[in-house]
Amino acid sequence: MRKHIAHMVLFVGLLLGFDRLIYTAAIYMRDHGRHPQGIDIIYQDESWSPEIVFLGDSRTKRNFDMLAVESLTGLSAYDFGYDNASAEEALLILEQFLSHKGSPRVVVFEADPPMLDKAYGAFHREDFRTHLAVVPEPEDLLRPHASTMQQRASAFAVTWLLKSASLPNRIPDLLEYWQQRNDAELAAKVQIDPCGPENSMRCRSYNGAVNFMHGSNGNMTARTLPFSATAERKALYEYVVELSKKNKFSLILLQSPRLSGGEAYSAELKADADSFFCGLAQSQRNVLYASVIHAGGIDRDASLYWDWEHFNDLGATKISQLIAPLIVAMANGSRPEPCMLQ
Amino acid sequence: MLFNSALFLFFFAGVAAILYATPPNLRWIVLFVASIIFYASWDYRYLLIIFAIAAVAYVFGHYRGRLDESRGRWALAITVILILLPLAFFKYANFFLANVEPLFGPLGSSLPTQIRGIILPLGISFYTFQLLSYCVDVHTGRYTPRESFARLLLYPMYFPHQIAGPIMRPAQLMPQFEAPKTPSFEILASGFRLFLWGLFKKVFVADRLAVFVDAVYAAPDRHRGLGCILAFYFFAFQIYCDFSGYTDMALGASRMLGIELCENFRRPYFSRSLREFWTRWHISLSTWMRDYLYIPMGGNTLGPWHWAACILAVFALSGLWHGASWTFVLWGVYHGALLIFERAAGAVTRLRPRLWPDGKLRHAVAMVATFHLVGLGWILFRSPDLATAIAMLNSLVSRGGRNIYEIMPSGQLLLAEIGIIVVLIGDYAAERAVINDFARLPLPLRWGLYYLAIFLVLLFPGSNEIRTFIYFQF
Repeated sequence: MRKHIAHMVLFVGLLLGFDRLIYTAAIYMRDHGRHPQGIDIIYQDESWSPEIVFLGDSRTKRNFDMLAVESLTGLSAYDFGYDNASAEEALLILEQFLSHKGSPRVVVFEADPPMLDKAYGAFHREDFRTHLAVVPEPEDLLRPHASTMQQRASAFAVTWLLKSASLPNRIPDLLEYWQQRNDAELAAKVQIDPCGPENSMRCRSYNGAVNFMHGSNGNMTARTLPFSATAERKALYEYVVELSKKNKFSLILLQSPRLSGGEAYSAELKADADSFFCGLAQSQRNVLYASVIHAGGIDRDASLYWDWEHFNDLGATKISQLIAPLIVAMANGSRPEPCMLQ
Repeated sequence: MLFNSALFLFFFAGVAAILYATPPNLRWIVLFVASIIFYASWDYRYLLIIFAIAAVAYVFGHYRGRLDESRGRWALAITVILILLPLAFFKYANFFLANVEPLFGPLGSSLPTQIRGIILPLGISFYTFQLLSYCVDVHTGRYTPRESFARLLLYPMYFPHQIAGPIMRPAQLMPQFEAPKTPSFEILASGFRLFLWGLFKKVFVADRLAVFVDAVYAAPDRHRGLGCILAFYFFAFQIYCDFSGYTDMALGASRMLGIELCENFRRPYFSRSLREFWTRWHISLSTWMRDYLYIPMGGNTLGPWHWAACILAVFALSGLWHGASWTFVLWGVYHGALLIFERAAGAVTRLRPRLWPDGKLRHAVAMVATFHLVGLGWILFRSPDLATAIAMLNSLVSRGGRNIYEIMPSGQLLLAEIGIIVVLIGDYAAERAVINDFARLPLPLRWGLYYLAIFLVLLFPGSNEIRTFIYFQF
């Protein structure tokens, strides 16, 4: 009997030992791998916290130039835009950033009218897998206390018992991160790399933004983006406004331009969206709604666009110049007006 | 509370600890309470259905002895109907309404086509069949009821087999509840091993194959050729690893609680005939169908035509038991027809043995042919409707589908293939009794295999989400 108990204790002890060994090795690979990309920065370098953060989909990731924003505002900036990200994904990134000692002065949150539609964008769980043991369900984001017994049991198990359970299918990615560790110096500030094997275009990635796309891909024909605002998304934006108040940062709900963007959706839908976002801005002094879709004829100059929805390097610099004064004003707590419709 | 979830492991550890600390004659109470909690964790409202039909079975069981044969038969018929009512309503009402409407022509349009909001209570097909076998066994004298109502409730509700079997007979399970023994270390280890093997089959193999299979069945036309061929093989192993994985976990968990459940799978893909396949696949359902339907219908005692009719009827009902859909009925009829054909072909080869000489080659060919015939049946089983099944069959013999790596990355495909090979090696070892006693392997090798399985499940699960079991929908 005693021998059997000793065997069981030894078995469990070795299991926990192997588990911690695997977990430690995985985290080492994560933290000593390539230059942080995307949300890596939230988890890997808690000592650095950008003062301006951008959140949204590819039109956030590709439409702004963080170098220009930093030089024009004098504040550090980081772009958390993700291709085809939903508003829920942007919100989770913001929450993660805030909960990891992030203390931004200004958050620029994409407020493109279609983002008011629940069906617009996707929640890419895999974007968080390298960092989060338990990725919340999108619908749980606005009611974080409604976690089920199942979720609590999983969270407890991966936090206290078998930590390697938080690494499902992540080891190959982490190994790849680690193998790219020698790229870290090169990528410390500005990373220039081919944007895709199918074209010779070159991109510049700096602090999350990818905005060095020369010229255009020729797809300049605007198309209609049908959408209908949903209660869930409206609640999400209201929640973001609440977060801004609670965490004391200024919030810019920004609608950036498209080429001939006026044709993307009806005037009625646009007016409804403007009315909703303006209402949010009017309810809080630290919130600004900026719809700069026509500012300076920026939606008419095709030379600024990579395709009809995304800027190239010239456009990214121009829009960054346009919004920099707004960011500075909001960072200083002097909102020019609640709603700017240009 | 799925077996492959952290919550179940905590729950199980708690139940086992309390059970071992309880005197043997009171342990059934621990199992009873645990089973109630287990079922209530899905939906406590459906407990009422189990309570109600168990009450019907209890009344029949305890009054059957006071009735003569004729009245007893009537009482049994009424009891069977009452027990089947919830299953008929929850599982088949909408199927019936959808199919009856066209029969009435213009009048049919006034009939409702479906009853909204029906949710199939988890495990209803399984616990209904168990209570039916209780009543029939009491009626035929194969089982003498002595238990209290609560103990009878434990029979269908016992949590390791509550949701997807194996379908146990009262004489197999009831006596074990009287005073479950504390398992010895060897039995504990064997239960743990079985649970781990089932977990590996489910999480590492079945869940990974499911990702590929789901994508192909969602659009068979887009995955013509190799994609569909792989999905054909992958689903055969997905359903095997999913269901036998569940069963292994159920058997393993139950063994660790001191209760033995019956075997449900015996390496079915090593079968050399359809007949053999059905003695190795979902054994508890096959034997249930044999004992409670096929034999009472006359079986093979009334001539070959009657036998063929019995086989077709029993397999069609077996298909319908799986799901209220024509694809399941056709799947059952397909297997019935194959069995009839196989028997006819067997008669011919017995008359002319040179046509099909016995030997290793014959065995290998028979095994491969059986596997592929079963696989073709799985297309009906997996397809949500006949159109999808036909599209799958078309796409199997067509070319020009998308690159399979668009469905699943090469690394994941490799892991899927490794998983299948490991399962086949494990089954082969068991089939050939290569490893007669796993416990006699050197300790470092044994533990190394345990750790390997645990970390493969933790680090390389087929899906990052906890996926439910296929048979939970039945």
